[in-house]
Amino acid sequence: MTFQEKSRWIALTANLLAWGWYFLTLSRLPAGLPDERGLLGLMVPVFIAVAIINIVGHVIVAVLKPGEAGTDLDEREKAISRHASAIGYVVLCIGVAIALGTTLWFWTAWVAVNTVMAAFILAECVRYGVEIAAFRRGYAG
Amino acid sequence: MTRKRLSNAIRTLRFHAGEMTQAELGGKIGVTRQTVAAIEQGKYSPTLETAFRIADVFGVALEEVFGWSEE
Repeated sequence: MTFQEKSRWIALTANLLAWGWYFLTLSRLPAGLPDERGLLGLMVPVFIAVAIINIVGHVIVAVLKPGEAGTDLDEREKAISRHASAIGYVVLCIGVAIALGTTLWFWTAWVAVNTVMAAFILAECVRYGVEIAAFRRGYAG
Repeated sequence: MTRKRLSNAIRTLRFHAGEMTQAELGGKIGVTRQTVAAIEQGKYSPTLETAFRIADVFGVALEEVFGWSEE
């Protein structure tokens, strides 16, 4: 497994764990929706968690295989990355369109922030997933 | 039209180059071992620049490394 593939696994895990917890917590809130400050109180730890998991994960990978750490993407990896980004972009566009429609329907900042965030996270996870699958197969497309 | 696919002789050339490993070849041409494996298996077609670099490593012409084969 290349450093780039390990990096995508770390990023995917970080996003799934942290944002999974966030949306699960939102869905289980007993006393209605949180206000803006409450929402920020939920989101900030998630951003911090994503950053920490990414940093710790990459440090562990770098310590275990120092020669691989920090290597740039080679041409096949770049092709895979472009392919995954194109698919992630489509997911993002669909997600944002749904977010806009949902926001126009409910007309609250809370819905706007969370639907756009969900679209963004979903697009990122799809991008990482497509990259990992292509790394496993050996090629893009 | 007959369907053709790009084939290569990298495995043979590595063998004749003292059983050069995929990682060693990758290091010489600036790609990962996995990319060399993907090229060798025909899963990934390299850029023209990398194709020339591979030929250069083995000291042969490009057409001795890559060619067409019937599907």
